Amino acid sequence: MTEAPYLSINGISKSFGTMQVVRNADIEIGRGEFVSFLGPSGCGKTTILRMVAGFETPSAGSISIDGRDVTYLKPSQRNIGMVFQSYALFPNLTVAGNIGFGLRVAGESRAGIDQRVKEMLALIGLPQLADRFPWQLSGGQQQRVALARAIAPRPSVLLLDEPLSALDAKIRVSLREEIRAIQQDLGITTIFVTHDQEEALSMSDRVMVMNQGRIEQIGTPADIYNHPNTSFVAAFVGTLSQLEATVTDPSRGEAQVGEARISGLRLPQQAKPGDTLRLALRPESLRRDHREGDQTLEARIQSVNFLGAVIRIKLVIGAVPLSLDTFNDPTRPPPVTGQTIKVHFAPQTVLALTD
Amino acid sequence: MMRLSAWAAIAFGMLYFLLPLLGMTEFSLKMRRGVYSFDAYAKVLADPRFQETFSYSVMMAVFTIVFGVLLVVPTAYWVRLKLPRARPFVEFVTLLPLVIPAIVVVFGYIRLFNTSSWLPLTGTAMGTNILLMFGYATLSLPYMYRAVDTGLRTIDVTTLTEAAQSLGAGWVTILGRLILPNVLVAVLSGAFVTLAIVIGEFTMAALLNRPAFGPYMQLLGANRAYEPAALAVIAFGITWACMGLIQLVARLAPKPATPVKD
Repeated sequence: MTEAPYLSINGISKSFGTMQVVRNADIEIGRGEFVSFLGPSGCGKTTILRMVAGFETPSAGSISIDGRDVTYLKPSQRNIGMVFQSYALFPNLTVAGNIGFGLRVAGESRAGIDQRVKEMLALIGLPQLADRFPWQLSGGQQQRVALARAIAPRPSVLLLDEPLSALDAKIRVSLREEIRAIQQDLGITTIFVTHDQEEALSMSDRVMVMNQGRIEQIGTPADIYNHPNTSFVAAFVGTLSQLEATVTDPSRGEAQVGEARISGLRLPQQAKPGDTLRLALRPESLRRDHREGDQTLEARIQSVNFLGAVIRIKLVIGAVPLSLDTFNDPTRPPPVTGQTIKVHFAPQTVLALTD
Repeated sequence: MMRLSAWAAIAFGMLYFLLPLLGMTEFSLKMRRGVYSFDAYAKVLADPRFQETFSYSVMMAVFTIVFGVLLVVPTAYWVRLKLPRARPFVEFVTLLPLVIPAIVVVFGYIRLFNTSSWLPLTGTAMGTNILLMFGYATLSLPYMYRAVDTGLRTIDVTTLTEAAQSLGAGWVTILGRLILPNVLVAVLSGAFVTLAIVIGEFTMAALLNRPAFGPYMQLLGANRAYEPAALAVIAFGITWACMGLIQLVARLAPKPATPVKD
């Protein structure tokens, strides 16, 4: 991010009684950027979002939007659009009434409101539902209307609080693409809170991973997935198999894993012979076919899960479990449980975790 | 066997409630010797005191309802939104009128607001009317509060409030345009119960010496034979009409936004 940040969260903390739920969080978000807050339940991601919205006041730190300090402003004074997990449509208002609510509160003319409501309905692809009430809509339609309602008053920042969590899997996938397309179309700065890594990785410009109130890592989806800074990020984002290893020759990137010796690893700079660390492998890093430069391990197949396009094979090396993902090939017989096979991986794809 | 005993219990219950009503209604029609007639009703309806006291009580009921709504809706909303821990305490307070007799309340009022007090409300008819309205609001508080609180339970008060706030709405807009319309049926239920209470209330109106319908019914009952029965039937009719209106209005209420299946 080279230009000045549009939304700055500066060292904010939040405590409820004696429990600190957010610890000294810092993040700067550029204009038009889509940033996801990702983490398990209770990690503090929603609390930060609520502090940005003004529903919670930080115990320490500040929040500014476009250079204006909004830390202690009321939610109604922040010009923020918010979409809730439970849709939160007003049951007594029609779809048009819901979308036009913010504009009516802002005192816009009736003609202006009608025009904007039409634009929003066209944007979410529901122009025929203006006169319906929320209870007459499906969950996906309700969430689209909630999105239109949030962006109708042209907010400076859009906050999405797990907006897809209550929807069916198929609707979730299509709606996340729609949300991203609308966000890019409007160029609106957006924070998206989710505990679903797939949503975060597929929609975001950057992802902020949180754990126990702390920010673990901020980076692009590819960074977060391929170069996790901590073992928490590595384990939380994607599936990961971990092997205990002992460093044998740091200059060659060599470590001992059980009986096998693996070289060419990217070990931490401070690694010394005899140090123990964990080597982490993504399921897609392991292969059944050998390529030049690959390292090889022998493993026993514990179970085979057919997932359609992908087959996930659970392996064990001694007592250590590993996962291997391979594309389904109808021309090859599927792997057999109990069989011992050789698995291969490029040493560069192994993550060395020290914490 | 179970079904038979259930029907027997229902039949007994209906007889228990309906027989006195039927008896009273029949008695109210026997003013003219030997034939059924509406003479008692005609007499009651033609009595200027009936019209005066009934319209007075209806007017008092309207003011009580407006005051009750303005007091209870924001209170119940605020307790749900910001003070959920105070709910048991507030509920206890709203139940007090059920255990404190009206006569105690009205004597307290008279003592506090008599002509030699710092706020001599009983010194004027308007002041006494205001005092009586407060008394009626107190009597109807347990019903009004419970009705509104039940209505609020059917909506996600916190999220709707936050959604409205994020759209720039202030408290008055949130209460007036969102909360009140969504609990309107509950408010109307409370309002009709309030109407029924005010129409039949005797103690407060009599002790504050106001021309209300309750004291008129008592006066008539002490001096006439058939007219009080006719009056009681009219009062029942009003109450039942209110109940019917509650049912009718409930059908027009906004439905919760539970989505239809995708």
